[in-house]
Amino acid sequence: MKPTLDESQPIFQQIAVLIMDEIIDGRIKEEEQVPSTNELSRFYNINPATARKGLQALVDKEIIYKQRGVGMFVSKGAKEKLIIERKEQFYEEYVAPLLKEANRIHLDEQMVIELIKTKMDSK
Amino acid sequence: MIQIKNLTYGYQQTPVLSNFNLTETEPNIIGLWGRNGSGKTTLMSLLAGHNKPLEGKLNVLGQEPYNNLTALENICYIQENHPFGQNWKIEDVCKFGRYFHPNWNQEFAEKLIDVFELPFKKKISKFSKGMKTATQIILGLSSNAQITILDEPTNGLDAVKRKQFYDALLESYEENPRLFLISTHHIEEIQPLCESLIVIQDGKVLFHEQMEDMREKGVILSGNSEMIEKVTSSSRIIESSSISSTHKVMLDESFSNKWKSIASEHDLTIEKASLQDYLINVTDRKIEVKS
Repeated sequence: MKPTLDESQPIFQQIAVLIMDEIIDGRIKEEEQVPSTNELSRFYNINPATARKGLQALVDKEIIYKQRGVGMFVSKGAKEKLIIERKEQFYEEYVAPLLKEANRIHLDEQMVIELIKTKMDSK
Repeated sequence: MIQIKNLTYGYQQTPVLSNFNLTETEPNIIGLWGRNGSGKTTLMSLLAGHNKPLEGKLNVLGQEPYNNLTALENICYIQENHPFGQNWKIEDVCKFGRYFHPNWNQEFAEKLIDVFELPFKKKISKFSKGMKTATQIILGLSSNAQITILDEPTNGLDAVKRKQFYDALLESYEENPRLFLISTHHIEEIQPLCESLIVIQDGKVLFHEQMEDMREKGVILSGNSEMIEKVTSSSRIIESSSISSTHKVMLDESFSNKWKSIASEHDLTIEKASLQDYLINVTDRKIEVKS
């Protein structure tokens, strides 16, 4: 779990994103319990209502579900669903800014592809 | 829990608060921000029943707090330099708290004395600034009062002690959700803890909004000055500066997708202002900035 929050986006969204990252990375598995409102509130020193809102956003997306009196758990198929969603966002989030910067410093398409290939090969 | 209607307080010609309105119905952690002389302290002392309103209605937990001992059992106001007896030690503060607040939590007080490493034998009048602030925090949090008002609760605390205070505040709120009103000049650090924020200016409420919405306020644009002038013609500019051919302005707008796309269409750089910077600029009366 990320150690601190930042200013980049609303806190409740950051809470939702970091739980989603945990699920995608497999650190919280399906049917496993996610941190509670109070745990998140204390860990990040945030208002419990904000933490609750972050978790609620994931309940609404059906990524996690509530079990009354017990806590919240990762839904079946959540990881797969999140990966599909992230793949859809990949162009906007990563490729578009990459191409913008490439254009700015006169790296043409061929050079960008070449760069990616060599880096991927050396991995 | 708090209801203030058309309240006026101060001297007839120069009221500190005038036609002041504020309603809070739920337990909540609320930040209170205002420049020096805006009326923050006056508001807090009225809520705590230290003063009597000149005009208007002030209700706390359904009662008027002024000269009302039963109402004050459920109100705990910790002033910035809270008065303690000359010869008091930390135990006397606990005794005092227990005496005035029926819900006093002695166990929590003892835990905090340990956390803040306060000595039992030393007089509070001989405490350092940080130790004195810690004492005030202990009194405020352990009182368990339905309405707890803390004026600059982190004054003189180092980073470690501030973090311990935030932990203690959240723990105490979790155990017994109640209304905390926390006045601070250092809004950046306290803002994640607060659900809403009240900003006072010139004796009136300027903002009373969810913290989440407050955090989104203040758009900083930079780039070509003609472009900036073109896109900001209908916005209020609250700060502006230039370096070589680059112009930079802060707008009294929300950091929205609308502004992000305006910026990218006009080749301008966009950033969100920090809450502190936004508040400083938006409450500056001298700004009549031309872009």
